Amino acid sequence: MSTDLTLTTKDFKSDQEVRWCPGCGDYAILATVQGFMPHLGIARENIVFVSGIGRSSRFPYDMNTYGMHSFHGRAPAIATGLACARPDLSVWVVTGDGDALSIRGNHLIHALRRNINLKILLFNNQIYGLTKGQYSPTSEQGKVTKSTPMGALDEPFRPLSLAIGAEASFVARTLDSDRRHLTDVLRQAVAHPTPALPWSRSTRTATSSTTAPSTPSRTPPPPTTPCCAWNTASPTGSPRTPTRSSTTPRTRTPPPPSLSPGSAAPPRSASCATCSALRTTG
Amino acid sequence: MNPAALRANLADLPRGAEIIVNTDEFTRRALAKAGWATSPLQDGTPVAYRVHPVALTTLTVEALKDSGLTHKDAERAKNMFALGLLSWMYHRPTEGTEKFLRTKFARKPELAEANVTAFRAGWNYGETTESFAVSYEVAPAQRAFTPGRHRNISGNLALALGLVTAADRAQLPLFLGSYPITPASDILHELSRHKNFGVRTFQAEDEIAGIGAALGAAFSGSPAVTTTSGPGVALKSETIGVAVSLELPLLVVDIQRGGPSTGLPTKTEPADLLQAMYGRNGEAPVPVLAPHIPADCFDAALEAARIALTYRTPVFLLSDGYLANGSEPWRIPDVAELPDLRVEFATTPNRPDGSFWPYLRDPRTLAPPWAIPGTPGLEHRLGGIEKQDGTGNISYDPANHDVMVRTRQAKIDGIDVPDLSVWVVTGDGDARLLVLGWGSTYGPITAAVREVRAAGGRVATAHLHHLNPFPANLGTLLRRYGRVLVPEMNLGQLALLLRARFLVDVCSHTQVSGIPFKAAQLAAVIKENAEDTQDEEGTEATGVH
Repeated sequence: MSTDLTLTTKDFKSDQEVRWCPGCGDYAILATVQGFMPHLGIARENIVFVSGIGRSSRFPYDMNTYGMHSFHGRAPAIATGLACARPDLSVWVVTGDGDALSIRGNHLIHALRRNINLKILLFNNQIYGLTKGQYSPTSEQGKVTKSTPMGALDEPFRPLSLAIGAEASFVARTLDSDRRHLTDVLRQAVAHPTPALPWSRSTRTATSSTTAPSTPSRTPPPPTTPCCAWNTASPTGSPRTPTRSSTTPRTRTPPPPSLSPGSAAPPRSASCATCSALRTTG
Repeated sequence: MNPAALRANLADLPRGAEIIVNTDEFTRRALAKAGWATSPLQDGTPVAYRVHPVALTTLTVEALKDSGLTHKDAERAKNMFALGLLSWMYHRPTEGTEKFLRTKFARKPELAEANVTAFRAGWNYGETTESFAVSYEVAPAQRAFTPGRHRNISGNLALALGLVTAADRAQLPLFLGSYPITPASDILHELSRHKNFGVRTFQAEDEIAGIGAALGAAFSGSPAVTTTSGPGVALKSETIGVAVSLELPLLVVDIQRGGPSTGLPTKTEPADLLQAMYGRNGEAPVPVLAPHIPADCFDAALEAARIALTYRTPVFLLSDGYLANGSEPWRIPDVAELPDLRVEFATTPNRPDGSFWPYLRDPRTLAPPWAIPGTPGLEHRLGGIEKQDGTGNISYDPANHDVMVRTRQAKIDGIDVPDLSVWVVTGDGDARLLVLGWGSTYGPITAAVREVRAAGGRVATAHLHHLNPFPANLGTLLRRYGRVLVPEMNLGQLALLLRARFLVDVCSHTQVSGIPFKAAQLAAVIKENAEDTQDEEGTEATGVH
């Protein structure tokens, strides 16, 4: 009755047309996650992807699993109910910097502190893509966008600091374009015996190039235990159980380009039609 | 017990009522606090009442002088002295009270004995003093209750047990996602004690997460519930709209309180009817039910679950503070007599080509299949973006959207709802006035109508439990009467719906004070309307001849 567990990447591709803008980093994340899923060893029908609203949130439509494209900012709450009612399922939340850190901040931190069996993937593109280019909670100070023509005034959130502050037990950052590292983060998140929050964050390291960033995601826990990790577009440090000391100190300046395994994100030639025009340097 | 209490409650008493006054508390200072320069006991303010001055505090302290308690502690037992006095007045058995006190203070036997002593002293005071000429005996109720085993139950407890029972009848584990709010929290408290019945409760970080988690649980195959009050409904509105769009079963329990905003959290006010009906963006129809008495909260929970599970829709259950905290005897039902709420999850593809369409509907109920995660071969995605009829794929097609909006509406309009029955008594068959209510106004309306009938007035009454969709016979029924009077504890929300739906010019009588209608006041309004309609009848008759 249950699905054959010798699954391939193809098995996780839905019949839906993927509709991100050309050059968007979300394509790379989708491909990586689809490629990673067969390694989970979990039948397709026991996997659920839940998303909110935003660039990142069409993700469940493209996964041939159970899924819900819910509403703005509430995916962690919905996924919490799912995971509580059905501990047998592998529950993943796909979200973005606007969805997770702005409209849903409360649900995110409480999902993290509860240590529920969830994986959260946060695609951090540091911009509101779906609504066509307003600044987001992770946009750097001074960023010029449609809604901040004189530059953004606000201090940005550091997703990693936020997650650790909320007592997430697994937090990692990776890069959409670094498939090997992203896959490794997913693997570690799934192996983590508590909820994990992998963030896939595309910190706009370089300059105007930029693609739609991938936001961090919480990887759902293995069937019995949850974990969270962030994937971000630029990987920094070890994704494994970060400690407070591993966080970068908060400064008034935009975060430095990512350090760590590997080099900074390569500049992308393709650009997101929606976002890139607005992504002038901070 | 003190002047302030006398002042606050005097208006609630009918003329001729008996008032027992603790004279020890009627000091000059306490009188001044209550706004009296001199004691009303002396100047005759409560002259229309039969006042029994009793030095409750002094007598209690005197009764306990050998107990070893301090004067202050002894004073605290005066409520038991009063209870003893009332037990004597109403011929109530005393064993239960004494047993309760000994159990409650089992760890402090000296306090238990002091309370029992005060209680007995009060009882003895009633029996030996000659100031009470009258005592009362209330015979056990016989006719009012159907035979069977009864227990006392509050509306919130009945509702909680109804939810547990509904899940049991569906043979599925109940899930509650909730955030504490007055006066709904007791349901969360009660359900959190019933893990033994497979109940899972989740106290969320906020109202939105509470219903969000419930929605997730509904997707996963649980009968899911969220409980709240009016302000919480406002926060949950978006999610209710999502549940309408996804077409998942979800119970939204609204224990209504005074509004708007924080309003009157501890006061009752069934004024969320229009919020339940229309408080969402877009065309988002939701069935609405309202219990009428505390015990009915049990049945209403089962009925709401039936509709949610059968039609895959969120359902509003509108209780209120009056029902929630009110209690009454309730006959414990035989589980076998309760409806079977089992549902069939989709387990196989529903298309000839072996594919699965999540919005291929049951032609009778228009409900889509409920295919839960873990079911191989039926992997699918639900979403709040408009979806193509049948396949559920995202669709911005104009014609498709029109179809989907009308289909979702038709599903709710087509819900099987029992006909409304009218309550008449002998001689009222030709009544020209129908008094139509909903929710907790049932008690006051019934009492008021009884009063009007006793005085010779002719009145028919009916009470709506289903507010969306309305019973199919409602329009016909409304048109049968010369006048329809709709008493409501809001500014006429049901009246508005009835006028809009049936073009019947109902008379709206409203009170929005945070307290229930008083039967006597309502009786005056009903009597006036009954006389008017009988006069109209006379005029019409004259005109015909």
